[in-house]
Amino acid sequence: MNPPLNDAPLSRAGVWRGIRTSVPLGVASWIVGLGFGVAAQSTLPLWAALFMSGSVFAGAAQFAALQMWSAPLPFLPIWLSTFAVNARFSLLSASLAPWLARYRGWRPWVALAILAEGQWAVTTEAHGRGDRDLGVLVGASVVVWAAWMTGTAMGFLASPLLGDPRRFGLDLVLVLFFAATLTSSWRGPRDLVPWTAAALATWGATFVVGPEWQVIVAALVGATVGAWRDA
Amino acid sequence: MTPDAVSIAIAIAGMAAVTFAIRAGGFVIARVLPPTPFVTSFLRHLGASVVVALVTAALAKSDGAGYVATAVTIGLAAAGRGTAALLVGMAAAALLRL
Repeated sequence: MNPPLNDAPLSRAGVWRGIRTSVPLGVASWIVGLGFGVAAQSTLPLWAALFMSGSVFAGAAQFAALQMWSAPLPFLPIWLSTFAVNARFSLLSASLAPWLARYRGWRPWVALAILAEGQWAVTTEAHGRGDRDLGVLVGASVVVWAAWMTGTAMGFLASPLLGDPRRFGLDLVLVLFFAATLTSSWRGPRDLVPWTAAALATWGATFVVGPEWQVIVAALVGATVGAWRDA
Repeated sequence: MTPDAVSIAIAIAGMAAVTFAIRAGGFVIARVLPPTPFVTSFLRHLGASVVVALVTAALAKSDGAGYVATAVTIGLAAAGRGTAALLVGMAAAALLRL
């Protein structure tokens, strides 16, 4: 139990709650990691696949980098693509900012270093239940990171046995995970306006910007419409 | 020809640095924004909008099996079967692609 006056809780119990509520998320992350390991096997040595999964820890950007991998390595294009594909993370950390800003020292930075959509979703769901312990985010992130690394290694090693990952629906893991997340974050018809705006903007953005910027533009449109409607 | 180990390490370290700067950057910028009702509401809608956009973008590139799998997953998640939703959705896609 957190004392009522503590507005920046971080407890071992919170970490444990984060771990327990993230088991389905960990399974999803493991499966996507398998997909990355399979894809990386033909391009990278094992140490590099693990170094990338452990330090970059962002599926879409890692897949994009594999597409650009060649000798000599095109550093700048790889980094720019990483920036474009991952720029959406800034929106997730921005949405957590009012809460994370209560924590002092190194704590928010460590939590931010391994932030991704899944952990973000688990954390905001916990906030909806009144659980504002930073440990939930940390626990969820640890589960996702460990599953991601295990998946990468296993996919890499098992790649010759697996064949085409599409046969198992592996290419859909990420979108199905996000669809399930979205469904459980539905708070009622009021969500319909910003969500429809974001969906339409995703489609509209294809005519204006490259696919790597689509999500960012659409999310900004959805949030603006939502905020404007609330005002 | 494959890149040498040093180049590989530099490329990946750069990707990691860029990604950390993004993750930290959103927090740094949002922290200095004035907490007006509009900014607060904007930040609240931001996360869900990112996910809506990710799903829409992925579906736009998907096949019929992807649409069916997504519908199955959403249906199960709405019924409170969040854990099974993902795996049943994948199984549906795998069956349709046989």
